[in-house]
Amino acid sequence: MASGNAIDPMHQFEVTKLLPKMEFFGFDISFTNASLWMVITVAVIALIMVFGTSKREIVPGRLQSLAEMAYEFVASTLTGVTGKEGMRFFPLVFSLFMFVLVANFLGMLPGSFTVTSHIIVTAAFALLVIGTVVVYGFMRHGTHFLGLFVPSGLPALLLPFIVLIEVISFLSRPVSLALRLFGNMLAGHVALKLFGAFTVSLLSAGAYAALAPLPLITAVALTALEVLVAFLQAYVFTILTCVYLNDALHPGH
Amino acid sequence: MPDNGPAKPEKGGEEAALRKRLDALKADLGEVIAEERKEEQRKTSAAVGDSGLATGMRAASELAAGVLVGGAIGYLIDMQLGSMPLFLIIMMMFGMGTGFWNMYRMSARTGSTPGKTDGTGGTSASS
Repeated sequence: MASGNAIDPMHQFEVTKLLPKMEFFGFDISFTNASLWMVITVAVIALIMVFGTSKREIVPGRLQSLAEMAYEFVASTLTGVTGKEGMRFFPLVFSLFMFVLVANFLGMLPGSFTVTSHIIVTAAFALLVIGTVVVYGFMRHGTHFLGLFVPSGLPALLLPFIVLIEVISFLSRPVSLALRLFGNMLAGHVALKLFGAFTVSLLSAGAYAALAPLPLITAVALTALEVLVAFLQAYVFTILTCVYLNDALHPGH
Repeated sequence: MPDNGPAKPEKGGEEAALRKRLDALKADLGEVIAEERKEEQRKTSAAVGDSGLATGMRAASELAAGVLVGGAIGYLIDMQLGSMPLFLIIMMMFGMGTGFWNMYRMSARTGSTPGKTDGTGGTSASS
């Protein structure tokens, strides 16, 4: 932006060190604000789960029904895609879903840090999922797992092209998985910040202050949309994880 | 049977207990059947993409990721062979094709042809 008091929508994503620098075999492992919010995310999940499951009432209280709802939701999503066999991946899928969901929601708090708006975090999750798929696929099916790339019933002429496309398709999975979550969270927060900043700068622009409510209304509407997106992205991430795990369980579509 | 009810209260009690047990069994059976039916429905119906917004986001990122990965592969091949834009362009086109192919597959899966996803491979028999 041209003016001196420039709108800086990317400032909120800056990673800053909270503690003095630490190194581990030459890697920078300093405790940053990103680390802090990851710890908070895990703590929130742990609190919900520990206190939600501690009483085990027949008529669940608020926290218990929250924990039960989360379990039921992930379990039905997982079995819906992969069948009952997929439940062996339940711990992985549930952890991923809860972490992404809670991190997204925590990011909606004013002044907080959105962990999932950093591609390194989402990419790590995506690689974890794809790594699991590849390792489990080969463990369970051996080289049959490669049948994933060769759809049956194709004319020989088309085969090389389809195999190439399938390979690209497989490689694009972690990319799209990571990019979608990262992109949605980043774009949503940038848009929110921009509309908030517009409101402020319009207010200090003399007669134009009369227009200030317009971006404010948009910002309010965007906030609602972002809450929806926060849930939806966690859901999409989970369901795609299930779809990819299904390929590891039953290759050859 | 109105006659044996008041005559033998003991028998009536037994009958009530039996009836209660029958009801309980029926309820259990119904639950099991409902669960099985649900499971079956899940298997046959489209497994993926309930909400439209979620499907839309998936489709868009599928397309973008296809092009990106295709471009990256092409770039790597070109770096190795020194034939700079050639494979980049070719693989990018393949990547775009992959994106469209994936989008088509998504729509075919969520559409009215559930047989497409689980009809062919021999391995799917285990499901």
